[in-house]
Amino acid sequence: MPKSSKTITNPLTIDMTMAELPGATHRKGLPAKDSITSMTTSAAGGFTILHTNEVDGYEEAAQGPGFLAAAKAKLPKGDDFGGTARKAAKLSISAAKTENFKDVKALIASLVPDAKMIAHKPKIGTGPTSKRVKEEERNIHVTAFMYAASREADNDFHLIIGRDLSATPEMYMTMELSGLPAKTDASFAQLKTTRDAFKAFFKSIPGGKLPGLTYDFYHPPVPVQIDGSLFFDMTHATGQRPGPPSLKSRMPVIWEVHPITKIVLKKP
Amino acid sequence: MAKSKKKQTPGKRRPKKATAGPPLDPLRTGMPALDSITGVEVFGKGKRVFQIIHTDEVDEYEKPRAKVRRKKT
Repeated sequence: MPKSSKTITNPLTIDMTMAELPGATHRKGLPAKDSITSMTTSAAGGFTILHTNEVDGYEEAAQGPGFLAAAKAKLPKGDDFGGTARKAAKLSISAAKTENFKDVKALIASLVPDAKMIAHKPKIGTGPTSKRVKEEERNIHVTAFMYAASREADNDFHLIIGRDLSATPEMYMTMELSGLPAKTDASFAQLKTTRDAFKAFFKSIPGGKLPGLTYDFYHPPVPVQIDGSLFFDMTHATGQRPGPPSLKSRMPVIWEVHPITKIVLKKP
Repeated sequence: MAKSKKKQTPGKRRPKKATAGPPLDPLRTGMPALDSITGVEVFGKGKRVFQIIHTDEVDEYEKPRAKVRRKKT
């Protein structure tokens, strides 16, 4: 790791460093203090990564302290998609015309309400062959900020995307860089290019580290431009919803952008 | 002998439970996560209607409860 970055694991030092970080006191979109396990400061990168023990509530790792290490060991190697739920929809790219949004709030406001999607007729299946339904046949482009990210057991990167820090109310939405389909799949090339761009961003920053099973939070949030297809996460329509516990109360929908088909991240 | 029923005097009546409250704003500051809400109780009347939002949230240091294991995507 280049010298311009530093990783801190001592809880007291984390507390002190957090207190001294410009703009981090009571900032929106930060994780709960007791969830921060370490932090990486990168002067050259222009931002700090707060590594936490937060995971999505439905992940195996969320079942208790003993489960985290086991779940980490099971994380897939490489970039292949490892899930089955609505695989056909998740790995396909809609052919619809792209709609532009300048803010996550406007994007969320444009979505069919969750309750209507849950009661969708015909019912949205959760099996691997479940394809996009009519309401999901939309492509969007949004200008926003990346607040947190993790890499889930199915090899998708979950990005928690929110609004400008000065905007109220605070709200976030999940947008996912999908694990890759088979090389013969029509979407393979575009999804690989997108995933590679995300990896390259972190590689280009001293101390930059791709997120793992537990959520990393970014301070300040990373400006981002995202293109992708809309997707309704029917699998998590009941029970635990996606998102890190610290931000989940401000994630009003289980709609996602999935897959992300283009991503441009900027140093804050 | 049959017990005599006590009648409540009008002044000592319990306030009636309200039948409906304002819709919940999940994005209001300080609201719990939607998936933690187990029930909403409405009480009071007129302008003084309160809602108690019951959740399954506990302090992390409390004795852990069994969690429902869900199938991962």
